Amino acid sequence: MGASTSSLPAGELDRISIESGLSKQSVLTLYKRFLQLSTHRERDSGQYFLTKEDFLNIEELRLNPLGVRIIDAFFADAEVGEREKVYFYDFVKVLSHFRPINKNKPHLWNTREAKLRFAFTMYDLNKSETITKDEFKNILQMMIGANVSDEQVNSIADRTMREADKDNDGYITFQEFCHAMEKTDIEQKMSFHFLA
Amino acid sequence: RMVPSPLAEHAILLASTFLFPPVAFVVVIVILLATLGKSLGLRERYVATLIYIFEWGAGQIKTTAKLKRKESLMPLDVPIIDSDEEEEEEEEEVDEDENERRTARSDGYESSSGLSRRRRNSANSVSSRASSVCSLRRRHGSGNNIIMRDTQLILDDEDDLPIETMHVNSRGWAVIGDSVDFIKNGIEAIIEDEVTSRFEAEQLMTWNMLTRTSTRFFQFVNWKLTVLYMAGFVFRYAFLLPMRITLFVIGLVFMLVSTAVVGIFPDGALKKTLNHKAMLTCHRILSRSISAVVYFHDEQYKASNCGIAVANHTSPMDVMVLSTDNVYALIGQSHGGLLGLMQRALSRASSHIWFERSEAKDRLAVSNKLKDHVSDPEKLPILIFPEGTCINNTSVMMFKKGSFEIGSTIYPIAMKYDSRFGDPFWNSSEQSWGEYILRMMTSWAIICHVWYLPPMTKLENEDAVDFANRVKKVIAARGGLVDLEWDGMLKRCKVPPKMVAKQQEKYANRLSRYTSTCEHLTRTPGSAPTLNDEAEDDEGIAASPTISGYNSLEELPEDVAITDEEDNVPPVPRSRSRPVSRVVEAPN
Repeated sequence: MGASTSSLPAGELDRISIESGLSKQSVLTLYKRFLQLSTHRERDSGQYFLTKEDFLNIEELRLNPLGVRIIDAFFADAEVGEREKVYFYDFVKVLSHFRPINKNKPHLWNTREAKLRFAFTMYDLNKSETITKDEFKNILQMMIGANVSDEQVNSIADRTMREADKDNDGYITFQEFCHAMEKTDIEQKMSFHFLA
Repeated sequence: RMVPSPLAEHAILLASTFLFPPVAFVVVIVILLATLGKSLGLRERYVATLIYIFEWGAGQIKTTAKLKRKESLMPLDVPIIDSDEEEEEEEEEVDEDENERRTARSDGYESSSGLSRRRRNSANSVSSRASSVCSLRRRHGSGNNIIMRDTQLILDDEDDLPIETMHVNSRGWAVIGDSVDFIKNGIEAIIEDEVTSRFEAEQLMTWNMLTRTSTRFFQFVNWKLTVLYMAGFVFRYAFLLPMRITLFVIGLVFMLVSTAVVGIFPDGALKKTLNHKAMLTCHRILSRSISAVVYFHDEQYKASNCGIAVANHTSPMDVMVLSTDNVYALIGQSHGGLLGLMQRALSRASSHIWFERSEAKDRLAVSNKLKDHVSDPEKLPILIFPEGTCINNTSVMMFKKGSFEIGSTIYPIAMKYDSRFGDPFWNSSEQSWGEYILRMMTSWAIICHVWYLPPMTKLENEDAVDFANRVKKVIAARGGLVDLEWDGMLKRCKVPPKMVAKQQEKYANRLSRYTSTCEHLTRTPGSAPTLNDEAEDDEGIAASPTISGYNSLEELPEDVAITDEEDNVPPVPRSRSRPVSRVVEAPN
């Protein structure tokens, strides 16, 4: 492994740091982590990338009931589309959503809306920009597992949808989602302090 | 370059230390022991005591860190967080606490588990995982049953992390909130998982009382540690240093004298034995002058004559360390000054290879000299460091392939220094030779593990470069070192076989897409290449190399991912257990 391929070129580092709002140190840490996880590299450009398998190699993520969904959301959020590869730029982009919000230095990527977007994407499997009751039930069941009967899951889902669905059309749009989450402290829940 | 000190200085030093009885006493004992080739095991005990002290120190650091964290909420790993973000963090820490109260979650935060974590804030979120208890309840209106469900997320195999329990709260929209917790958990795992953070934390946590290694820990030093440090300082400079200098001087003098004496004898068996004893003794004295504690493993593979011993090079002390156990012939450029003096002295007692600077450029001449030496059974095995010496880097470029081309037996030796007690690495651009020696002599000890490896010879179909690579791999594997390239020309690493097989599958698939291949392949015509015919694929592909324009694996287009596993081996070990089963799908 030559030194040049294992470290981020300085220009790249600067660019990513500025675009994401992360400090260079944080970007480097993420790069180290990225390299640790990555098992693939493109022949031509020498760039490393992550596939879904790489994410699944993380044991904790495997054990997380929403693990697979989180991975899906990661890929969707990174907007990789068909290619199913996450490059370092995408990696940083998604993770920078989880940067704590600095009121003095607002940044496009870690706004409250961006954070909520990630969560929304996790629910909205088919990217229809709405969450249906079924999609919601899916997530619920992944979290709960087999321990709860179907009716109970159903009624919970019902109740939740009713709460959030302002116009009662049976779907939750992103706006309704954001509105329902108003009381939740998203900034705290979806922020990592060490991503500075 | 070492400044040769005048004899007068030596005399003064000797005199002043001998006026100091305890030091003199110790010196005499040490020399005696060195001559007899025995050891009291004192150094080992000394090392053990040091370890004990350092661990106590580490405990101190932890408690101080804990205290300091409570006061200032400063994260443990300083480099990660920019200093101007600290204020913001404090606010957010407070918010977390309030939020905790607001949502009426049970259990407090566990801060003790945070100690072994690299970052405090990740500790907080871990403990929030541990403590967030949600219960599945029905709304009041429709029934009184409280259904509790436990999801055991056993996040760690190791003993210290508690088993974490999560229940899912269903009260209305809170489900979404809980799912966000899971998200946080997941993203956190993506950023960092247990294994790596623990490994790095272990590395951070001990301080060996040398300021040179302690830059991160100054903030955690309390008065107890400072006292200990001062005591250590005094001990090192006032006691160890004079003793070591004396020993060093005595060792040098001994070397000069003994080689002169041995040189008188005519070449023969007697001379060889005398040389053997003399060399071992003087190197042992010298190694005690830096308190080198060397552990030799697998001594049955020690180099004997007519061979070349090859070792990885890590510090200027390497030659000395290795020479305490076995006698070698050395090779290198001839210098002037003190070093030249020593070189001439050594040459009197046995034959070494020194050559002039101009000769160094002539690879053939060097190579011939090596051949001559190696083919003489009376001569000692040559010790070579193919990577380079700190003294003179240029000359070794010649040896890289040179020593492997000769065709003699190679005895690989793996060396690994334990730098907890003293770092033997010399950065020649930052430190002068004198500074380096001073640092060596004021360290606690130099600990080294040496593994002798089974001898290797060049195979028929191997060229020198491949052979060198093979030897290097063996050495790196044994010493637990990262396999670095030795020769600039060795660029490609071999792709591991299982990846090759996988690629062959994909290759076969592409093949069927790109060509009407049936008549070209030597298999049953009319059938497309199947996945099971990997062996035959080989033949088929080999028989018609240019079918799809891909002559070798290397030419496969980019979307066929080739994992250069070697490329991806990082210095930090990581747990790479392949997922046995996917995340459990929610039954529908």
